[in-house]
Amino acid sequence: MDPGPPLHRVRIHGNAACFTRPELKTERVSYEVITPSAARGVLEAILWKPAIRWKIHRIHVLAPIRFGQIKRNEVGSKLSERGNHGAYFADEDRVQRNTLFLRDVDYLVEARFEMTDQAGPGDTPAKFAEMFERRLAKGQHFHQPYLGCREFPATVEPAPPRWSTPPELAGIKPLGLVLWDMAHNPKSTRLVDGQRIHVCDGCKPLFFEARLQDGILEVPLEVSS
Amino acid sequence: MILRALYDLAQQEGLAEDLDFEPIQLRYTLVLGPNGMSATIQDRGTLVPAEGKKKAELRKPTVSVPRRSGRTSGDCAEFLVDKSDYILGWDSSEKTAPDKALRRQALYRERIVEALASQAPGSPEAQALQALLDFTAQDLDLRTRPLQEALAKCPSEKEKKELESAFFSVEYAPIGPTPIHLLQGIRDHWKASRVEYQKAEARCLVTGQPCVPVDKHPQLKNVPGGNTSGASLISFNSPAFLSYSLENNANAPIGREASEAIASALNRLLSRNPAKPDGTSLARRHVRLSSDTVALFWADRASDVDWFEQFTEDPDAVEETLLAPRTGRKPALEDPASFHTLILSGAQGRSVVRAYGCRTTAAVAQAVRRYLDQVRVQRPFNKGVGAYPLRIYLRSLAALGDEKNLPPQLAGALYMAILEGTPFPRMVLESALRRTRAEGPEGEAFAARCGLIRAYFHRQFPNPKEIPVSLDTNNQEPGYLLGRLLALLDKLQQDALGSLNATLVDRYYGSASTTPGAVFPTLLRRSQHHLGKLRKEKPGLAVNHEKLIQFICGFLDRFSKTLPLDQQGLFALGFHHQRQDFFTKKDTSTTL
Repeated sequence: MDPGPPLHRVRIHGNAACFTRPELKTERVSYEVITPSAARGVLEAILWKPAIRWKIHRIHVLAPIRFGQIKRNEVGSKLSERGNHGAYFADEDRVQRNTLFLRDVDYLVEARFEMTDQAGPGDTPAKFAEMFERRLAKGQHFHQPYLGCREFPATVEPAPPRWSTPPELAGIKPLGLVLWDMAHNPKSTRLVDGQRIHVCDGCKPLFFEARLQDGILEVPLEVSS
Repeated sequence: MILRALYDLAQQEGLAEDLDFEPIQLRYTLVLGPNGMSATIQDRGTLVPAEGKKKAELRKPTVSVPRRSGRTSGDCAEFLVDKSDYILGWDSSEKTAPDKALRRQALYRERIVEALASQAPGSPEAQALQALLDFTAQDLDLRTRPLQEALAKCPSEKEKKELESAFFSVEYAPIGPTPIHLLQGIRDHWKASRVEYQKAEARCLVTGQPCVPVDKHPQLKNVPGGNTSGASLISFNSPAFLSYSLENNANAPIGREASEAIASALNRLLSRNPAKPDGTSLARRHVRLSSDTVALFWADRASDVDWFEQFTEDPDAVEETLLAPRTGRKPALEDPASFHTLILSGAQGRSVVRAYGCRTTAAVAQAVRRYLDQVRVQRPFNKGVGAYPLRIYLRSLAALGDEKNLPPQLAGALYMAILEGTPFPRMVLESALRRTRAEGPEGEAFAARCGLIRAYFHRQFPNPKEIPVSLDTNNQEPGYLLGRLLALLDKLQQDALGSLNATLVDRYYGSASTTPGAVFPTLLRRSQHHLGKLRKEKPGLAVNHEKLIQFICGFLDRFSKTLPLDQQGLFALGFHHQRQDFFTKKDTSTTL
């Protein structure tokens, strides 16, 4: 009997990270800890196929939580999806935005993937598990893994044999409601060049009550909307 | 976590019990006569006489009024409590055109008519509302007379301006002194009009309960650097801030209850005279760090953090407060309650979170105590050894002692470093030395800078340097010794030549601290002339000076070409310590 996909342990670390809170998106403030959604994003950068879906089980925080702050000049509008934009001058549209980011982050993520209904007959969990471990060990990825925002690259490695959480995170630290992931509306699609693609319209963010216990965040496998 | 902590604060302090009303400082009342025929404007402010250091101030009563709509420039009438252009249809300050004011009054009266329809006929509430309608329907002269009389009686321009833009609550004389908006029948009508009829489908980010996402969050007043109409913490006022095709606040669904509770909590923290909705006043919970930054602080579970504001204002008083238990509550150093700090500043109509920290009160108390210990300095003008208030330290780092010239974000960064127990930013050392070179090592500002430099060295990582408050004769760091040497040479010059227009220090401090190799040989050569002159007048003193100078030079094998920044910091400290040592009385045995 196929035992099912194994638990993968991955160490993710970087100089800076910003897991932006949805309510404070304008002047970015980061969550204190990596969100399951961002962790999934990092794993998907290493390996993703339509046949698998990553589920985050647990996050260990290996470095103390430290914030830093920068101010950046950004722009205030988005380019429309349709063509024929005409001229757009960024220096006439400047908006200064503050970012409160996390410094020197280090996480150990435990995750498992599950098979989706797009898995073909030859797609076994073992195949993808081995593929993932191989790519992780070699440092291969489809695109640069990042920590919340694209400008904060992540270094992803196989987990060390031993790890520990810092002493200042001992005890229980409540984090309030944290973004779990987006619940995409399967009915929201659009026909583009003869193909049905998903467009986000009516896709809802899902939140869960997060708590750090001695530096470990337990992530629920399902969150109801 | 920030929003959840603010929500908890609102619950804990009773600010969220009745969100249909909000407390504001209301000074003027329109009191209607019987049948709305006449009215007067009364000033409910009370003058508190001057007491010790405090000047006489006008205390405005805090009144619960129906929650306002957060209007900016559009026409939108509040319920019952509003400004003169809405109630009377006339703006005395001429900012609103007469026809616009009349339109506004029409909106105001509409709401009164609605309220009247819901009241039992003949009841006190109905009588009061009818009187108000009758009064406001009168001719322009009659209905604006009370305001014009009040304006004429105003003693100063400032008061006049205040009256022109004031909110008025309305009372009806025949039924007593309760403002109309607090009568029971009218309260019920107001509550009923605020009930949400939409289905609660989204899940609130803050409470987790099903909610109708609120459209617009209440503005926060008193955010430094923000607009006068207020600055929101949560806002999405540009397309670049929206994602997933979600409109405005659907990006972050927050229910009205949570949103208003959070706004109440923030306004309470930002206000200079905070008060509960029922009028009882609360302790101040903010520290103005600079012209555009404010630090808010609060603690869970009603723990006593009043001492915290003191450490920025009056450090000497804080020491005992930290250690002594206060009336049954735990002393601050052992309090396990969570202590939150939030640094906000205003920009582009929004409030920006500059920093947020959450530690136990005990940890914060410990950090404050450690900071006060490290930043103590020998203060000039006979004030003894102690710490200055935080703003003196900040001002000492700014050009011309003006807060506005502080490097941006230094105040916030320094404040958070104090609270978290982390090393000071390097900018502290750089600014302190830069200002000393520019302004010379004199006065209170220099003492404050030395305190900061000393604290910087104590906290630096990985090699903290422990430097005592007063002269350390065993310190052999080159910077420290050179600083002492400069002070000695200056004293020698003073003793030999008396007071001069330009002393040695005035001319040479800057170059001595940065390039000692270029300066000290010349200074030492010149000091021989001073010694020679002094030997003729006061030989004993000359011998002392000579001994000290030789002693210090004995430790210096050479004068380095330049001094790195850390050594320049030690230079300043050595100079300060030696100078202060001249002023302290010693016993007969002279210490070397």
